[in-house]
Amino acid sequence: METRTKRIRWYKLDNAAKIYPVITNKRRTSVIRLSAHLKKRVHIGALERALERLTPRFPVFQTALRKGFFWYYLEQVSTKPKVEYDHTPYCRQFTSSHQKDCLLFRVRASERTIAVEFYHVLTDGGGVAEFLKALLWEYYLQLDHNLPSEGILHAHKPIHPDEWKDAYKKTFRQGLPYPLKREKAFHLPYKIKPANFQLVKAEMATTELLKKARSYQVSVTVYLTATYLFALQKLYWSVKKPNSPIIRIQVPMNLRKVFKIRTIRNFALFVQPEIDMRLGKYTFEELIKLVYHFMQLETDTKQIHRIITRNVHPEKQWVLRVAPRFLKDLVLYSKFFAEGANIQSGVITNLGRIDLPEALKEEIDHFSFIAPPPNHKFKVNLAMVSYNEKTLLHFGNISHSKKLERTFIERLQEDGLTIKLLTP
Amino acid sequence: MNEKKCNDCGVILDADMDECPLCGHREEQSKKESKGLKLPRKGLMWELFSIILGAAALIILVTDYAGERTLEWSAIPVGSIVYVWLLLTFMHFFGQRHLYFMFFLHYLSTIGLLILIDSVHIPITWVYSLGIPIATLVSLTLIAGAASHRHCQFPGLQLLGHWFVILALFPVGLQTAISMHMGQFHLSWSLIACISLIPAALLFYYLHYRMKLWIDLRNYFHV
Repeated sequence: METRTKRIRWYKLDNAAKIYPVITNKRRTSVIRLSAHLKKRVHIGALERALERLTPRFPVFQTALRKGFFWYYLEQVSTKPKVEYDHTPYCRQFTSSHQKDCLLFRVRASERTIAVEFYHVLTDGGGVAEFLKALLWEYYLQLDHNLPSEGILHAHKPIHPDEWKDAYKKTFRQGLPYPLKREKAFHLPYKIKPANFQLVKAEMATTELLKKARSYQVSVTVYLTATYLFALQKLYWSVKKPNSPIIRIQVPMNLRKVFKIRTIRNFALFVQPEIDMRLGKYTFEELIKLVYHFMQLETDTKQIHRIITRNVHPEKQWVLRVAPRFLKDLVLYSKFFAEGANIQSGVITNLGRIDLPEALKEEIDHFSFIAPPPNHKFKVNLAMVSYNEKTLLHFGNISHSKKLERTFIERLQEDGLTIKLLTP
Repeated sequence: MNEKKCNDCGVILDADMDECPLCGHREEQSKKESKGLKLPRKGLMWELFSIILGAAALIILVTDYAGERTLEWSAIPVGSIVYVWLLLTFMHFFGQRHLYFMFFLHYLSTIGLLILIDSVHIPITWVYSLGIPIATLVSLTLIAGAASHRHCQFPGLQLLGHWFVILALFPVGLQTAISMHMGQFHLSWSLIACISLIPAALLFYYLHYRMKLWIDLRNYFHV
């Protein structure tokens, strides 16, 4: 296995990654961030040694983005990742020049924080979480902690071929009908801020949140998505001339659990619950019911196969395969708006609960997850992650208005939840 | 485990770490800072040279004036000092960001110095016919060399090729200037030098493009 891994010097981009080199710019950086906030100070020497040990375990991450005649691709480079000082702005763009041997992830640290930032070309939130968990495991190993290695992709764990393969292709089925096209969605009419995107960080008690979601007999993701829709609906009625009566939210869904494939590359799709404002105002309970059924319908394996078929099928057609990259870039760029930014009013992504050995509960206070900066259409996004007793929410915002965040938090407070706002 | 804390970013360092690998903070550095020993690096050399050159120019002027109560021979040495100071100043202020502008200012300064020497005491007959053309040629050579370094995508064989072309053209320009000054345009030794150097440049270009083509094809057809 290892021999084969060493022989491969380049990797194709996975199906989801293909869009990112085309749409990335200084603002739309497509960079995900996950950080662990420790209870004790970071031991920098141990972190450096842990990173050095771990890097060969993830050869697909030790790559740089290259431009080919037909496709972008990843090429292994000898650049060693270094621990950088962690400071704002977060999620900065990785180098715009594809010729340099610039790695597409960075490991950052400050007094009590260990953070990783990944270009979405390499992996999604699930992959980032796997890497950070492994890094923390190695880090605490350096600090003489004796930890169980179960479920951790540590330095000595053999590399499974599934880890670096394009899982979309593995699950692709030929000849399925494409899902229905969706119409344009409502967008918040706020002006864009010229500076970097702003963050609002909020903390909630996981048990309290879980208890509240259970009281509606739904999951935390459904509950928070309904809250997000509720907030958007409230703002919709305050807008004089909304661009569309449809409010639609994109909720990324981790497919690793669905297909039992433990890839460290991108493997997620989106559930897109929507409400039509022409039908009138929705109560919160109605929204909960609606989102729940949307989730049930769209997480059906057959439905997922349909979406994967739509996404993967074009790249298997020879006409598209032989088209030069710049033509593909044009198509992908237009698709990004037509089938992405234009048809969504917002994004809410829940990384879920981070599982680490029990002994680390005394060492790690909480995790923070920041989604890539939102695009100029939906302007605000929300990312969350839970660890131990804390659930952290991060709103990313590129507009001048914080109304959405305020309305969202007010709605949670109305439900009796305690929310603490923190400095990002 | 022996450990100490970084006073700047707050992380824990290994006992053998003198410098924080995260923020670059050094223990000794902080001690120096606290004693007020940290000196501003940027511009220090320029300030130092300005003071030295200014003092030298002043001494020359005073010495000249003290003899006959008038300024006679000091114009050329003081002019040369001013010329050196101008070169350093342009290098200091424009060397990093405006390289070509710096070369242009150096060129103007050189011409200024030549005209000064010509006009003050020792009339030089070749300033306009030979001095300025050669100064122009040297400046152009330097600009071409700097441009090659700056814009060369693959420094190596391609850059060597560029330098060989520049060095091949320089003698031609030089002999042209000299022969024009002598009143008769004539090229001899410079052509031989040029013809000898051009094939070497072409060889470097050929090797460079062969290698580049191979690298590009390897990259481009990863399909």
